[in-house]
Amino acid sequence: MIRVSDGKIGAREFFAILYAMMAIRITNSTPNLLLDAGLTAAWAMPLLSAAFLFGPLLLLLPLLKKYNAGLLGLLDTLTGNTVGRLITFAMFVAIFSSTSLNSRNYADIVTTMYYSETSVLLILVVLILGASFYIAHRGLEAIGRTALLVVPVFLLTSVLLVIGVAEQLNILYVFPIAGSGPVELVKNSAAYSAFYGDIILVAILYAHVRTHNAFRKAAIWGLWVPAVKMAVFLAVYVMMFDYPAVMNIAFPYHHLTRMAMLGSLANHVEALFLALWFVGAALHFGIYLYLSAYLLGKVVNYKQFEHLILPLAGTAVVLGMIPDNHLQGELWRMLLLEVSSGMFLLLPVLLWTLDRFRKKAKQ
Amino acid sequence: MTRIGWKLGILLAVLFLAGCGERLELEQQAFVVAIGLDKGEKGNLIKVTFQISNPQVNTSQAAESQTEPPADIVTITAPDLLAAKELAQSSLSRKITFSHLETIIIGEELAKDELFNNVIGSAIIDPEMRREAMMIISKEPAQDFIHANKPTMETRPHKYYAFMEGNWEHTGYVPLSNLNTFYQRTDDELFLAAYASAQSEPEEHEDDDTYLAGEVPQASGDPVQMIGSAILQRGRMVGTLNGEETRFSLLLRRKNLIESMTASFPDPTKEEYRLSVVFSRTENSKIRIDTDRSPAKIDVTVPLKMRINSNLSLQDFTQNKDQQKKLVKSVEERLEKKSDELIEKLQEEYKGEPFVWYAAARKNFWTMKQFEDYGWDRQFAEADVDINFVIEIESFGEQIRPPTLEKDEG
Repeated sequence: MIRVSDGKIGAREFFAILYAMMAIRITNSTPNLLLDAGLTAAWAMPLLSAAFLFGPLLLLLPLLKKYNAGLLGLLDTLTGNTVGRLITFAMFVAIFSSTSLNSRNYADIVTTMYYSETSVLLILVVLILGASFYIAHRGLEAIGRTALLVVPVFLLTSVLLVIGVAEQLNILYVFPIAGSGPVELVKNSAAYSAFYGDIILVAILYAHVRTHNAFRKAAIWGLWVPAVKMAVFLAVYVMMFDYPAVMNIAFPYHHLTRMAMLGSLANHVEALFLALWFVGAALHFGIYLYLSAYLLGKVVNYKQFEHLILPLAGTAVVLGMIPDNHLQGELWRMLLLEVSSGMFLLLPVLLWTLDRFRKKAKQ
Repeated sequence: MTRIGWKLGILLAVLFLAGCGERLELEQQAFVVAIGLDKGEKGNLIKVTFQISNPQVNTSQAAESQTEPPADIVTITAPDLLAAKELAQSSLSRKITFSHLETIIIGEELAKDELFNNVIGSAIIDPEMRREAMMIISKEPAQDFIHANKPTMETRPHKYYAFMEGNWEHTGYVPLSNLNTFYQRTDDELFLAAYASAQSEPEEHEDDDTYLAGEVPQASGDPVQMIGSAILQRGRMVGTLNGEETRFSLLLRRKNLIESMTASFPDPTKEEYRLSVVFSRTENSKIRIDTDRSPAKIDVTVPLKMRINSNLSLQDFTQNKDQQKKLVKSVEERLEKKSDELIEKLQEEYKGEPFVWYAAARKNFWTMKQFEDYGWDRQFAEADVDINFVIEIESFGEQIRPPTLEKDEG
């Protein structure tokens, strides 16, 4: 059945968007942060982080249904206009600064691992101002369709990659099972839960998803599938490179694609993964740019927020060029992660509490 | 229409020009297939030998390059690998690339030097270096080794190394030693690197696998022999293991690295003859380590399948159950005795293990810190090790019973 386009997206598209937002983190320098904190047990951290966020997500879902409005609508009703706008602005800062910091990270990966003679600026311009801007510019429906088109391919190639290296893995390397110790693990998982904070943030798109059920299903799957993928890959990194050598590798995903062998003949398969990875990165930043523009539009009360995408993309490139190298940005990134983790964990709780008070006040 | 034309133009430009950014034509590149590293004469300099494959030889373009040799060998003295790579460009017309580099040969002199840890540690920083490259330690300087290596069957050098590495899985004479595993074991644990030599000093041994590279009694053919392994500890070569010891250190690991291997034993029924059997391992070895007691206790059970494909004494093993039992028992005992000797040697001389048992020991600990405080390698040097081989006879070859010469013996 051909449905007339109504500007809304279904559960599958929404899930694909969430996957494109979160799962690609395993390919940048995120694993290094997690491995530093969790050592051999880094694989447990994505699962713990997702578990931390699962509670707030479950608090948020009934609220969204009750008020039948997106996260921003909820903020407006429950916290009032000014506070709501402040929180919206904070979310914008979190997501936009992560866009520009991460885009630099991706450009550095490309210049380090693949194209050593291309300038960082050129890659940033092509990636952010070219591909990502184009995707974001087409609107949510187009983003959803693009994501639905490529995400199954990503899922399939991830499995293929693990199979390609399976022979070289030693399962015993993931021991000791608690890595840096249970307390450390839990503490750091909470601090880094912002890696999945997107799941709370995308509630701003609630009104653009067809049904509540579609939103709920996609959000739950969209939280756990990327988390499980990250957990599997972190375990694979440790099983492949062993502790402590794994801590010294700058971009483990890209080393893994180099080591992968499909049969005995195809042992230079990284080009295939590079191409797909670049598509994934363009989509990832496209979504981020779209959401940034959406939030900024709400903050400044500008209805045609699509017009903000281009200036934001330009700003992201300029900001991305500020650090001399990606390690300089890393400190900022950790700070950003910790602050936004707190925000994403507490925001649903705050909204839920306010809702309770309202109910009591009414009675 | 003009608006569409403009967009179409951009699209076509993106499609067709995108590949021009960092293009490198095949014929402009010099593919390094092997690197040799040696100690330089002055200070901390190293001698880097590049063996560069000529991609035109043995292809459909061979007619154009009939007089060209299959490989070019260049040696450069420089502070490190990256500098040597650039300096070699002063004489080479094509751009050197490591994208097909699969073999790194290190002269024993450099491997034993303190400098080696720094040289190999810095080599991997170059993103062009691939972690799956094999590490081979040569008895003589790597430069001489590469020059002496003239395999008659393999015109193209990369094929030679690729086929040799394929061989190792079937013989177990040499450990599979790529850079990735080297960086895993740069502390007290022992890393085994393939040992090779192009200098022949033949010896004749009763056991078929107790040779070290260069000692195999071989006449004519390619002078290069690869058998045995170099022991590296804390990123430096500290000793060697012969072919037999190397096989044991591979057998005692949890994961099987040898597909099959042939070894000979004294025949338990007729001591003066030897019996060659083919071993294969289909299951992982079981490793149990008790770290609660002191000294630690290590139990290893190695399951092996045995095929009797040669039988010099012409004894009848196929029909006679007692003979079979006797054979299995004697092989098990011999393997156990040999591995005990190896472990004793490692505990005394090196105080470290090449069996990746540290990974099994990590299982007993809750956090990494506890494991590091325990000091596995110190504990291994004192540990009680109990090795058990469990052998099944899988087949007796293609004869039901040996051809009998004297009727009365049967």
